[in-house]
Amino acid sequence: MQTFQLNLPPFLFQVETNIQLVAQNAKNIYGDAYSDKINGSAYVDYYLSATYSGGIRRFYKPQARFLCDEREPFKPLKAQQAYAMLEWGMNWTVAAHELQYAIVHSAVLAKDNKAILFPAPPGSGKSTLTAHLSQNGWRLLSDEMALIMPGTNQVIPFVRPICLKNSSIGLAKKWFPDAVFSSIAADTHKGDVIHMAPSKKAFEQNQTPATIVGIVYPNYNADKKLDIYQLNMTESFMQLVDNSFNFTAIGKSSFDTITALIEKTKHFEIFYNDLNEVDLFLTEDIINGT
Amino acid sequence: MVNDIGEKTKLEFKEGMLVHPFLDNSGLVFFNTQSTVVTSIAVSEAVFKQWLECPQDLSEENLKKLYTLIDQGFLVESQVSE
Repeated sequence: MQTFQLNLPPFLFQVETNIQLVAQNAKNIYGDAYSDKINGSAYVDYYLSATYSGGIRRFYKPQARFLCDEREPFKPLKAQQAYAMLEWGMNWTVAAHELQYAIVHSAVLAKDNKAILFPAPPGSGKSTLTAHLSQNGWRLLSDEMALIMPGTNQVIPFVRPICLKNSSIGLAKKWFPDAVFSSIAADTHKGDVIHMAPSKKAFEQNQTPATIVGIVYPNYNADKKLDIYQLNMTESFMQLVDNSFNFTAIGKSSFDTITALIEKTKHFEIFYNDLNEVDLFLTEDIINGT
Repeated sequence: MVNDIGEKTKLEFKEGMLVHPFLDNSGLVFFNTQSTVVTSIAVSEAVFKQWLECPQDLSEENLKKLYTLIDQGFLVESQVSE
């Protein structure tokens, strides 16, 4: 059994595993944030494990289990999907437990410490867009969740790998040959999945918050050139709440935070098939315009 | 249901409900912290206040919207005093 820590501000995770694939991928993806020298004096936020399921099944159809502080939120997956399961488990852990932030299911990228949120459901192209921007001058704060400080329009980085699926995998490997990728988790409920490591720069600035200036709801559509629709505040609020992990659990603080945030930001829904056009729009109309 | 509002009835926000009218006048959003229902209505605050004062004057469609807010626990009926 191996134990390692992932120092991913604002959280420290400690992971126990007996699956070599998990430890190896974590080491490759997280670089300096990965440590197998356990710091016993550090406060660990979450104790996680990704281990083989027991029993005879392990020898003919091995499965992996994810546990967070002894709780098992998911059914076991195929052992070759164990690293992806750990990443999803970390997402679940934060989304299910953290109440000191308003948490939105959203990618977060910034330029000049001005951040844009990209809340979107699966299939919207969010992660492909995130990968592209993060390799083209934008700072990655998160591919998966925006941690918004209550009562402010500040978003805290939670720098983690970008989860790419199916046809995006080949594109990302072609576009970013120098990037670090995990092994492929094949045939998951999302299809084939790979994780792409954040840039070193993103890790270096993983304790620097950014000011949210825009909220963009992306929709990839292979047949559409860039179509941009400005949303009014009420429309944007309802979409943002739909993508919130903990809005109802936090209550008034979250309501006040999100309504205030909406009034301080620009809101767009975009349909696109050209990532460079999106980059230009974001930079000129939102970053430079605020 | 939508036509049974009395002549002297007006509507008010129920205590404890969270309501926010947006600065761009695009609408108001509501949050019931007990039931966790979140909803919105796409009218300005000024227009919405008129709706509450005189629900009898509303079209059936708009009155339905108010009744939805009553059903969701955001609004209550009250009687105008003589």
